[in-house]
Parts: sequence; structure tokens; C-alpha cells
Amino acid sequence: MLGKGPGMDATGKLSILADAAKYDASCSSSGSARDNTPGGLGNGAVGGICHSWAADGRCVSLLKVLLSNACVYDCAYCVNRRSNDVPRAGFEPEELVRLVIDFYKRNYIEGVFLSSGVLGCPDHTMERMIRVAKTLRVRERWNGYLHLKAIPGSSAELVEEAARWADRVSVNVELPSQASLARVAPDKTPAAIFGVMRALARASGFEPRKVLPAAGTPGRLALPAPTESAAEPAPIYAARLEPPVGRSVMAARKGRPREPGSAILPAGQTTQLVVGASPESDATILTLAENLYLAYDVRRVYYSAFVPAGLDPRVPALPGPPLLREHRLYQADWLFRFYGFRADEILGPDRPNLDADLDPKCAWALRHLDRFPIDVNHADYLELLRVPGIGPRSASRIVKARAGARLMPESLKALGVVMKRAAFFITCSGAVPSLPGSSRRPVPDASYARAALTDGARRALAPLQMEFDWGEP
Amino acid sequence: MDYRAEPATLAHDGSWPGFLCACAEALNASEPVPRVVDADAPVGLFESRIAVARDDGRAAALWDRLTIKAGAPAMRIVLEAFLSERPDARADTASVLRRLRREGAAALRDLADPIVLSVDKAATRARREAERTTGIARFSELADGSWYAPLEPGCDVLPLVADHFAARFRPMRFALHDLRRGRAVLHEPGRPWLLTDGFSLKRVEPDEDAGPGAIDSAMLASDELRIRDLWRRYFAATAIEGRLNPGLQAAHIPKKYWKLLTEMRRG
Ligand code: SF4
Repeated sequence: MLGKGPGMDATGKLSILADAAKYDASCSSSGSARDNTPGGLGNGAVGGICHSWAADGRCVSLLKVLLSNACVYDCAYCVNRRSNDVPRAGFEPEELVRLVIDFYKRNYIEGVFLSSGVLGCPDHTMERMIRVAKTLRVRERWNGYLHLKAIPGSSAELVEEAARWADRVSVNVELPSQASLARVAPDKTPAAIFGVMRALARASGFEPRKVLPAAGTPGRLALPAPTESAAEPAPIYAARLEPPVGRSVMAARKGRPREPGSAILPAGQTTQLVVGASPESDATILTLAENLYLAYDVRRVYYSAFVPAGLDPRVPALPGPPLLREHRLYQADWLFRFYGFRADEILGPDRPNLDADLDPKCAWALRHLDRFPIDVNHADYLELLRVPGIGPRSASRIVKARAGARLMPESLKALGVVMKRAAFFITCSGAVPSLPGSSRRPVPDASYARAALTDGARRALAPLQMEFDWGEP
Repeated sequence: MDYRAEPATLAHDGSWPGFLCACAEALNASEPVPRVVDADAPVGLFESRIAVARDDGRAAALWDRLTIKAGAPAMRIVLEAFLSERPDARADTASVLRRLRREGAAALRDLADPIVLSVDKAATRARREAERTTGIARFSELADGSWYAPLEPGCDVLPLVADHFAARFRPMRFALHDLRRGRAVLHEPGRPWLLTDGFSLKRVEPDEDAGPGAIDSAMLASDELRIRDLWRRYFAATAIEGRLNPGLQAAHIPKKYWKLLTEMRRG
């Protein structure tokens, strides 16, 4: 059977199973401060620790592997889909435990990110993964960082048990609409995915928000309507949550302190969306992401530029991964979590995709020139956050510094304000800052303003990304 | 009064307690405050240098007094600045202690003062190096079941990382060896860690070509080479071909660190 064929030793298995696991974007090992237990090995570091950097520049912190890359499902975007002709391998739970301990003691890794293809049925697969987790925690008394990927469709009890042993559990939504899910990942259902997310939210003490049918939300995005299968748990693809509505992710999170030392799921749940494997717009992706934050208290949504994994007619043959798009989505996501933006402020039905040349905050500011310039000596913290070139850190520094003395344009740079951008949008009690390195007056609707605010992301990332024609009107 | 213009100096032996003793002497002195220098530094033409003897009790007393006044986080910055080994960092640290004694931790926030800024920069450098070290130290298992990790840090980070490794690898007997300074942190399960000067790993037959920190394979545990190889295999498999970016990789982990990284070398 799996990996038990002649000649398949740990080295061979590791190559196959690491290779198959590497497309998951999450390298985060932070958010947990698991203490070492008496006589035990290892602990968690709240900030996370990078142990190395791979040739693609990503931080290597976790041993990211699959328990098995054999899978009975057939998701078109995935190398491990059953219809793909690749060598298959699988670890015995005991083999993997050995490997983790061997690597951990050498300080190669901060912990493990364990995932698996579906072996037989979701529950059976979950049970095998839990066996690894439990052996590490109980027998080996290992306290390193453990991230388990839950299998869609596994039972709530198994999800809860996984949550007991792991620092973080995630389940990937991957496809941003129900129609795409049905086409690209036909074995998975919305109920199977969101059911796990609900169970995870509950396990970490968060009562999931009720999801209402999408009907009657004109002006919102045209999302596929939920079908009858949308009983409980309802698919969050429906872009509407039970009131209170209109709160930003940042505001909703305010009352929910994080406890890195907590025993259950200290690092919470996360998920991932694939970008570019299906035709949804950035607006659809961001609205879904916002709903996931609000409904299930997801800690992070990761966006993963689709890397074509062999030919499958259900997904496009992109010339390269859409890295620029991925980058802009991360910037927009940042605006949810730290700047108090809502998805419908960033994009809407009339503007379905993010600007390729501007970061989403600059693009927003240029569309709302009536709200500028703002006076840094009077604007409140949230208003300051809306200014391009001012971030959470410089905004709080401004609030602190102006309590002592009125701020002048010259004092802003030292507070961390990026004047090249901010100059267009602020005054200091009437004094207009000058543009660094330019004799021009900073006028945001001047023809040169857009060029001045353009960042280098397109130049750096776009050569790798080419447009794909979805053949839609 | 610029203390740098004053030729009287107090010399310490380069050790942390020795440095603190010289600082204590400087704190007692009246204006113009003598400058604290390393005994190794060349003597200036008009300098009159007084050597201050190391006295661990006196050093500890000063440390405690200042900690009460300024708090542990501020004193951590002082230690980090001392360990940074940046030129002038020690002299600047010594003179900042005067402000710390008077104003408490607030003194360290006055980055408009060039001396405070210099101390802050030095401390940041050492802290970064220590953080990096917690990630990139690589342990090997030796035949006797103990563990050995060679390091070549730019700053003297051992005192800053010892607690981290002792907590993480509590059940392991290990040596964390700073090859550049010949010092090591030694840890035995159930005991506090120890800092030793003049440490060297007894090698069976040093191999000239193997590079710094290499250990003769006869001294290694039988599984060590196989596990290193597994790790290299994993490391190679984990980069995504479509996204290769060696520039970004080198920006995160400068090449000077590569020679001690298992995944970047052979054997
Ligand atoms: S279930 Fe998971 S492993 Fe299996 S094909 Fe789908 S994404 Fe790949």
C-alpha cells in the first residue's frame, strides 16, 4: 500500500510529502505561547521564529508535510487530486513523530504544519492526524508549534479533539464561490467546509455569527445564491451576516482579546483562498474574506496565487501565478484588520478589481478627495489611519506627540509618516507640507499625483503575471 | 562639559562585571566624568588611565540599584548595548547609566540625545542578532547523547539566548559554542546554564577542509548524518519553482551565516 512499497524509506517519503504540501501559504508560527511542561521538550514563541529562508525567499519555520498525498478527492487545482498521475507516499504516524522530534531537537524547526490527502473518508483521515498530534503532545511531551489542517466534512467531535492538541487548526475554503467549488472541487460541499469552521469557532469559545440568505442585498456583490443545501451550517458565500452589520473587522475584533497562553487553539483558525483558479473578482474574494473574519473569528485569511499543477481542463492554464493580484489582496486584507476598512469601501459592484498600480488605500483616498485634506492636529485616530502614508504606529505617535505641541509638517517624518504619500492628503493646522524632493505643491487631483503615488509592486511582480481571458463579457 | 574631551579614563577588563565596576567608579566621580574604556584599547597621548579591578559583588550591587531605579526592561537594553561590541557602545552605555540613575527608564526614550541614540542602536543590533540566532543555531547530536551547536555571531549574544535554549531544550544536555569568542553556554537538564570561557570541542581529528564548527563524524551520533540529509532534502523540496527569488532569500539570511547552516552546506 502507500509508501510501503520496496525502497520507499523516510527520505523518499519526505521528498514527496514535503513537495506536495508546500503550496499552502501559511508560514506563520506565531500567536501561541505554549509553555514547556515539566520534563517536556520545546515551547512556543509568541512572535514566531524563522529558522531558515527557502530559495523562494519564504521563511521556513515549520515542517510542512502531508501525512499522505494519496487522495480520494479530485480538486482540479491540487497536485494530489486522484486523477493526477504522481508518485504517492504516506507516513506511518510513528514515522512522522520521529521525524518531528529529530528536526526539532536540532533547532531546524519551530513546529509542524500537518495536512493530508483524504484517505478513505474525512473522519478516518482526521483520526490519523490526531494520532500524530496526540503522540507528540502526550507521549513525547512535545510543546512545539502544531498547526493541523482539518479535512472538510470531518465530524465536530474530531475537529474539537484536533483543537485540543493543536495551536492552530485551519480548513481551506480555496474557491471563492459555490459555483466554482462545485466545478473545481466537486467532492467538497460548502456545508463540509463551513461546518468545520463553525466547530473550530465554537471550540475556541466564539459563537459563530448567523448567516442570512443573500437575497435582498441589492448594491452588494452579485454572489451565487445559496441552494437548499444551505440549511445549517449555511454557506458563508452568501454575503450577509446577522446584525450588527456594517462593522469593520477591526471594530468587531476589539472586544476579543487574544490569549496566546490559552489551552485550546491559542493561535486560532485560519483559512486560504486560491486566487486565479476561478473567475471571481477581487470584490467577491474580499467580501467573502470579510465574512469569514466576522462570522467565524478567523485569525488570518491567506491568499494564494494559483500555481497551475499539471493540466486540468477545469482550471485555467495561467502563464504564471498572479502574484501582483495576490499582493494587492494582502494589502486590502491588511486594511480590514488594522485600518478599520470594510470590504464595500474598498471595492464594489462598479469596481470589481483592485487597482494594479496603487495600493488599495491610496486608491480609496483618491476616490474620496472630498474627505481630504485632513488636519493632523485635529483628526481622530481613525481618520488619521485613512491617510496614505500614515499607519497604525505613526497615527498613535501623532496623537501622542500633538498632545504636547502643535505638529508642523517638518516634525511628521520623525513620527514615521511617509511624506511622499501623506503630503497630498494632510495639513498641519492650515500649513501645507511640501513634497519631499519636489518643488511642486502636493495637489491630489493634479495629473502627476497618481504617478507620484504609484508604488513599485507592478514593476516587481507583474512580469510574472499575465492576464488570463476568462471569455466573459 | 563634553566628557570625551577629558583625558582621565577608567579601564575595565572587558568582562561584564568588570565593566560595571568601572561604571560604578565613573558614577561616583565628580565632573568632569572620566570616560570608561576597554583595557585593550590603545592609550591616548594625554590620557591618564586608571585600571578598575573586577569585583563581582560591587558589580551586582550597582546592577541591583539601577534595576530598582530604571526597571528590568531598561537594564536589558543596557546589557544588550554592552554585548553589541560596537565601537563606542560601551563608553556610551557607561555614560548613559548616569542619566538612568537620575531619570530612570525615561532617559532611554530621549533619542534626540546622540549618546542615548547610539546606545539604542547598539542594543537593537544585539537584539536582532540574538533573535536571528534563536532561529539559525543548528544542533548536532554527539555519540554520547549530548548536543552541540556552533555559532559565529557578530555580537556577543550567548547571554541573550541562553534562557531561550535552556527553556526550549530543557531535557537536553547541550553546548552552545561561540566559535569567534571561544565561549560556550553549557546546559545540563535540571540545572541552570553556565557560561564558560575558553571552550573547545575535543575533536578526534580536525578536518581542515570541513570549515568552522565541523565535527569529526566519529564524534557524531550514528543517526546524525542521515537526519541532516533528510533536512536538506526537505529544505530543497520546500521552495516553489514558480517563485524562486534568491535575492529575497539572501536579504533575509546574509551569506556570511550560511556556512553554519545545515541546509546550506554539505556533510
Ligand atoms: S481533498 Fe485536499 S489533497 Fe485531496 S485533491 Fe482536494 S485539495 Fe488535494
